[in-house]
Amino acid sequence: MLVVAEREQLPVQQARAGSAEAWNALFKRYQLPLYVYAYELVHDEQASLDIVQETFINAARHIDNLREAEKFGSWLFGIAHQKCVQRWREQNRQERLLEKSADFAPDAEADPAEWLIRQEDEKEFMDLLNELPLPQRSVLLLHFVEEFSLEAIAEITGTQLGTVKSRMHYAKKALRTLLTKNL
Amino acid sequence: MKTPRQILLERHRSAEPKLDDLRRVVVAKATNGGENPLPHRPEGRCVASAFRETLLSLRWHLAGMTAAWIAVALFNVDHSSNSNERASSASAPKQLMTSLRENRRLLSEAMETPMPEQSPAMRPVGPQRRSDRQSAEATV
Repeated sequence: MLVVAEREQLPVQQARAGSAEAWNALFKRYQLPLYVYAYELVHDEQASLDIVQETFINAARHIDNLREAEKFGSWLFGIAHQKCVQRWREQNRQERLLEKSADFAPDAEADPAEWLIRQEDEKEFMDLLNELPLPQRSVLLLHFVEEFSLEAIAEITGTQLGTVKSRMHYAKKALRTLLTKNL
Repeated sequence: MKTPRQILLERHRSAEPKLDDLRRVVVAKATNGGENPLPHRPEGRCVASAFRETLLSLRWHLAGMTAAWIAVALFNVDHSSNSNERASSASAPKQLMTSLRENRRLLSEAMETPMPEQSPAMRPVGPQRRSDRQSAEATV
């Protein structure tokens, strides 16, 4: 599986040393994916911009907590995810989803690049994505936007791997009609 | 045909100018010692963190090597203690006999030669007791 975030050489060491240029490069790399992730979860432009800004500030403050430089992307998304969760709680809109136990092996590791969608189906794809419950949408967005592995998604969302697999399975099931149509 | 990533990123491409402004503000504020300064760390700390990262990345290799060395050390200790035991058990009767002979010789020497009397030269030298001196003077 192709993992975009972990194959790049990011200037994390320089950022740790306080290089403004390095921070600029890191933030530039992740600003749009983070915004997409936040926006597709909270559906509010200003709130999404706030989440991105707070994520950047927290990252700059707590870069010492990052142990492995190659995990910078998942670490950054982890901060953004926490911000989104805080916002859901503040707005009292957190959805509670009864998860069934993942006693199957879904094809969740399939490369998201293989999910090709026709231009005329883009709106339908976005509608279906937005109809998903927040936890499933969150997992699917992380899989789509940064192609994170299931283990990385489990770390970002602070959930167990089985739960992530289960959420991914149900999310894909919900999108199956659209996907099978394009096969 | 597009991938979900392409669809999602293109959908929000219009937000990039705002994100650029936001990024510039955060970086400028942080690096100019504003409200949220970025961590400026001395060279020593950088080296320390690089060293720590290297160690962390090698932790499994180091653990494996340590386990292997412990196993080798245990094997060696076990082996050497066995060989020592064998050597000591082999030399035990010889030593016993030697020490028994020595004891017998010392015993026989002690029985044959009488204990020498204490010579006057061996008497403790020092001032006489006052009571002794007085009794000697009285007899004179």
